Amino acid sequence: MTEFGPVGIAPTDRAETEPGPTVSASGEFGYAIRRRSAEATLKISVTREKIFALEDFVDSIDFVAANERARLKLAGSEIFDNLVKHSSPIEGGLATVRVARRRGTLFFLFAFRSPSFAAYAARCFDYEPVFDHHARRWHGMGLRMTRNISSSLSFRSGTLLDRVIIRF
Amino acid sequence: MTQLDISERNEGSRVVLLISGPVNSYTFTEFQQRLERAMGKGEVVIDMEKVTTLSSAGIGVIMAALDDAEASGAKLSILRPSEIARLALESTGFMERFPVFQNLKDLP
Repeated sequence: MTEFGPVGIAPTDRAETEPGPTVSASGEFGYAIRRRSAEATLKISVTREKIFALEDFVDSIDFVAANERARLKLAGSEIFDNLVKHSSPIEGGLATVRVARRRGTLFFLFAFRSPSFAAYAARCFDYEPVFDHHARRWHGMGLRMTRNISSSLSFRSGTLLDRVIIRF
Repeated sequence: MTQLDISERNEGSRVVLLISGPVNSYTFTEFQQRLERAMGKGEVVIDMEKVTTLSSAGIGVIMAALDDAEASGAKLSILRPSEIARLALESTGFMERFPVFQNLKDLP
C-alpha cells in the first residue's frame, strides 16, 4: 500500500527529483503552496474561518479533474471542520494538508499533532446523524459523506504525527 | 475569501432563494437564517445552481427545514443543484429525502 512519508520529506516513489516552484500565497490567508507535478501542500491554521483558504487551495490544484476536485473539496471541508471542532488543541495551531497522486490513486492528507485526536479517532465512526435542537439542524453526517465519496478514510494517531488520510 | 450571497425573489406564490458561493461551516448560519425567514413566508425554493460547495452543516440545515415543512404541511424544494451540490446531497445516502427539480415549472 502506498503511504505518505513524514510531512515535509519527499516520498521515495516520486517521479520528479527537483521540487517545483514555491508559491507564496496571499498573506491574508497566511498559507503557502508547495507544488510538484502531482503534489500540492498547504500549511494552514486550524480555525473555522480558514475553511476558505482550504477551498481556495483545492481550487488551485491543477492535476485533478473536475469531478475529483469536487470530491476533494467536499471531503476536505468535512475533515477540516472536524479538526476544528473535535481535535483542539492542535500543536502550533497548524496542520499540513497535502493532495497527491501516487500510482493513479489520489490522496488527501491532513497531518498535525493533537493530544485529543486519539480519543476522537477511536469514537468518531460511531456517530449517526442526530438532530441538534439548540442549533436547529442535523449533525453527524460529515464523515458519512466523506466515506461515501472516497475509496477509504483512515484516522491514524501517532507519537510524532496524527493523520487523516482520504483515498479516492 | 469567497462570500456567500443569497438573494430572494418571488415567483408567483413561491419564494425563491438564489444561493451563490460556498455553503460551508463558516457560512451555513447565514444560509440557515435566510432559509428560516423565507420558510415563514410560504413555499420556498432553494436555487442551488451557483453553489460552489455544500458542507454537511448546510445539508443539516436543509434537512431540518424539510422536517419542519413536512410537519407543517409547507413545501420546500431544491432547484437545479450545481454538480458539487448534487454530489454533496447524494453523498449523504439520503438523496430520496431531497425534493430536487431542474426547472421551476416542474415543481408540483
